[in-house]
Amino acid sequence: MMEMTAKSKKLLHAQVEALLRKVEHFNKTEIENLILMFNTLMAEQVSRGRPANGLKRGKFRGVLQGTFEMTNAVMMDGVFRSFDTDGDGVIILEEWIRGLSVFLRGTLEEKIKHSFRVYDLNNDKYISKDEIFHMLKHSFIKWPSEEDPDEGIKDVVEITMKKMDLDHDGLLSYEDFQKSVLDENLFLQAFGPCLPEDVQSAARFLQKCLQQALQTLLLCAFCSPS
Amino acid sequence: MGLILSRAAQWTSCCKLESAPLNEFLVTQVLNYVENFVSRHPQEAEHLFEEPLQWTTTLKKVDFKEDYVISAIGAKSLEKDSEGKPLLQYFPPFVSVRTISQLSKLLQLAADRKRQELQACLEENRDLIAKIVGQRLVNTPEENLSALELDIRVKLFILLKHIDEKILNKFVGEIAKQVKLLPAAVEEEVEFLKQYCTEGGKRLLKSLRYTSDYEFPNGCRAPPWRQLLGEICYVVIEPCDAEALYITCCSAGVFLNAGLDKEEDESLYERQGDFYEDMATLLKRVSPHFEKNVRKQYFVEQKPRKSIHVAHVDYEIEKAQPKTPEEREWEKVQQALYARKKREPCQRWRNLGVLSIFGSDEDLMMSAAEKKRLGSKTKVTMKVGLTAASSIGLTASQRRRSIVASLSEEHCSESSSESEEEEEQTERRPDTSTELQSEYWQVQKLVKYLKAADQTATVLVLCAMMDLDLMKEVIQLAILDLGGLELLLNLLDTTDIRSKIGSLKILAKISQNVIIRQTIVNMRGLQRMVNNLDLPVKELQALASETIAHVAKFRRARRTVRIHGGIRKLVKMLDCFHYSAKPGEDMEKNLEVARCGASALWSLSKSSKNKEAIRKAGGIPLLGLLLRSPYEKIAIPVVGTLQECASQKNYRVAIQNEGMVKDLVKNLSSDNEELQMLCASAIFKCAEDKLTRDLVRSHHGLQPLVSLLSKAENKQLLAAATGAIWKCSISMENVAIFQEYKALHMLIGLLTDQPEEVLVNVVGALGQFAQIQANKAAICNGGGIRALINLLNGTNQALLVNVAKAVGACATERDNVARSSSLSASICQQSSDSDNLCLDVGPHGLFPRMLSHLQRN
Repeated sequence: MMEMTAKSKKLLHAQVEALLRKVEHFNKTEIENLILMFNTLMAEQVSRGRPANGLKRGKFRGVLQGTFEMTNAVMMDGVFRSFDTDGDGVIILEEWIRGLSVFLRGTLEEKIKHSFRVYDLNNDKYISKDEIFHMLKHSFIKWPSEEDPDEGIKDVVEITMKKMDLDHDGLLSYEDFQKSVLDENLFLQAFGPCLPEDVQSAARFLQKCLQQALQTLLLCAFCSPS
Repeated sequence: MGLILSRAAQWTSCCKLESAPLNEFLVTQVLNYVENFVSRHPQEAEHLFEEPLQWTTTLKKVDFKEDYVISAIGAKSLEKDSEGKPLLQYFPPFVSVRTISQLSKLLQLAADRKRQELQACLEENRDLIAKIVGQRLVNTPEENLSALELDIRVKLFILLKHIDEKILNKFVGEIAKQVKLLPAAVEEEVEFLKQYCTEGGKRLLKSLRYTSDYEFPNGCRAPPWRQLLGEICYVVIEPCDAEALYITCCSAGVFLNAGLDKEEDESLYERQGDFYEDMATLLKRVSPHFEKNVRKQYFVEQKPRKSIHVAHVDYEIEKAQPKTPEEREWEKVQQALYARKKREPCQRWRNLGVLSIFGSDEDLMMSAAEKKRLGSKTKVTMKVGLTAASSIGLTASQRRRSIVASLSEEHCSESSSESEEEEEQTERRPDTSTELQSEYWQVQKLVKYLKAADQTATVLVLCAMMDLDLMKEVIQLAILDLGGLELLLNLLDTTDIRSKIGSLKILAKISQNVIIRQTIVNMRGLQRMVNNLDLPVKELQALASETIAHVAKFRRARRTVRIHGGIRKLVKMLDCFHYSAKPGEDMEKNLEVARCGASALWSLSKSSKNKEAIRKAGGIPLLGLLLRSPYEKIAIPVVGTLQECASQKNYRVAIQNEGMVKDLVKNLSSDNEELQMLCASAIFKCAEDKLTRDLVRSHHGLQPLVSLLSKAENKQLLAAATGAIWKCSISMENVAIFQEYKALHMLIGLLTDQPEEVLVNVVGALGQFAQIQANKAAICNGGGIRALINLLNGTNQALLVNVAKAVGACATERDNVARSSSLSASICQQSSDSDNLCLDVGPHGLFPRMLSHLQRN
């Protein structure tokens, strides 16, 4: 066990050093803690079945739901897609750190990119009206029962599209989206929550992450004599 | 009675007479004639009708007494015709009558229900005359009438026709009384009266203005819900010899209203006086000066008057041609109507077949003159029909919809011109109304979505709402009216930051509207905004305080913010340098937050308790800190707040001690005139204290003040700058420096053609300058004395006091007394002219002192 810890410590150190050069917004300790968190999550996954080479969708959604109070399945899948840059269905350590740096500390520009990837459901680099409709379809909650809510949603989609589709090609390209958001920041999460609610929830997440890391270290310390 | 029924009366769709006052008038008239007919024309009254008049009666069998035979099924009269048929038959619920005498008897039986009976009779016998004398006679042309032998039937026919005409005549008289004012007429009169708001001999009024610059497409300026009450616009008139008059113009006439409550920032609509037919009449009653002068002038220049009262002038012209009095009356009424209402109800007119009368000349039974007369009669009655119809339509429509309905409805009724080109009308009409409607429906749709939407969709709907022209009053009021404002305010209570930001972005704009502001306060909106001030989201803080700055324009709102602890929070927001660790984006955001906070404090600082609260919350040092910042944008609200608060001693001391005078002086040289004005105004207020005056001098503030005197076109700035110079010149050291920059010369130049608030300060400053011997001569040589003495004609107390001081100061110099004594005669004359001058200045002992200086010579 002791040997394992020493080995993993060495590994951890190497990972931290490597990632520190690749990823912005985080300091050394934060990266260390996030790696530990990733390892814990991975360990929980492994314990239930055959080992995987990264975080799977279900586990990742659990994190989003538990820590960031996201409930919308479409959005959570979107965030997973945004994290999973190589599209192999699992989030590896680098994707995890990189994704979280945007998710928690990203600049506006980075966040716009993230949101766009979330909303581009079929990954074709354009957001279509159908995609928007799909994301908004349950948005009217107190609709008068005798009327068809889809009509209202369609109208909202139409109005929004008209405003954001700056080149009038019927599709939202990244440029359209970016310009619209820079013009009106409220459009950053236009079609659903895909970022932490506010600065505090991001801070809370890092806090929790730190605590977990401490616990892991303590656990190791306790386990080592035996 | 045929004409009355077909033309004058207003019918409902199911052939009933509408319960309009004009219809009641008609029925009453007919009733009078029927009742008197028997005694006046006994022969004709007994003439048998061609066809009986039959109608559904409310009379019961028991109502028929003697003279009638009552049977099981009904009743019939004892009187019978030559063939033995009864002249009146009653089979419940019908009654049929065959002579006028029977009709009048029946009406007597009906007693208090006679109006009802007669109305039923008229309603069910639309072809009354044809039934009485026969269709053939009715169709006989007028010329042939004389050829007919004058049997009773023809006599009856002619009699009825006369009655018909007489009633119509009276009817028109009745309409003439009900003539309504229209926006166009009001505007015309306002424009006309404005010509007399000049200086000089022709001056009838000091000023005249609308309370609102916004004109709805229908020409009204009153808000839509007041338009429902027929109000057109509100006008503030300052007569030469009375307080400002607040006047409401509504379709029924003009009247004095309760006036503008400055503090509450809203017009009060209650009627305070009688109705007058137009503003001139009202003014004549209220202002003797106006009355006196208007007589003089209107006789001299009747020409402009003509445009308002075309009727009168045209009437004069018409008089040249011989006409019967009756005809002239027609003309007059017609003209009065046309002059006031520039429209013609072509569609209705056509429908009612007026044009066909004109078209088929040969068939007409009237002479040419009568035809013309009748034509105009019908025109007039039609017109009334139309207005009545539209006004009923208005009152009937529900309040919610009626804003749009009334706008479009009134608008289209006005847009129609005298021409009969319907196509043009129908083309023009939808344009304006659909434009208005589409905006209204757009708002309605968005509000509906807002009600249903979750957080994500809410933000999208809010963004769509931001794309509307939120500065447009129609849209602002639609949002208010459709319940959108309530939803927006409710969003402030949620936890979703983005919805709050979106909502505030809209609120910040629509709160420029007075009514919206008040509704926000009534809906506890300010509390909710204050609650959002301490959330750690900068954009939210900035937007909330910006909206508070807009809403806190009246006392109750300012008080609400204070009571809910808003001032403390706002002052805290000023502290933007607190965490100024890294500049850049963060700093920019902090400054924006501080700017919005200061704007809100500026609005709030107009109440004295709030000034105190800002001070207690530690606002003064923070304001001082911000004043030092190099950002002009932030300096404006900061100096605005400071100059507002400088009315308090505490603040003046603080401004001295915190070294803000230096920064105020520095900003005097800014490029921004508003900032210059605010700084000058702050110095004006603070320079009462000697230390401040010395500080202004030591920071080289006197020269920029003098250079501001050249900005003669910005009167606010000029007033503030001259005020600052006046107060600074209380120290003689300052006067000496002012002289270096030739301030005296410029001040004398400002003695003429300036508003009073500038003059007061200029003259005050001159009074100080004149303390120095050399200046006295300079003032007199520069033509100052004459200008000063001319100012004695005014009524502004502060100005008179200052003028007296200045002249008094000058008069201590012997040479000047000699110079002034030539003018003394005029002063004395003026002083005896206007007793109030002596009264005003007397208590200060200034005017007597001035005179005593003169007399000592």
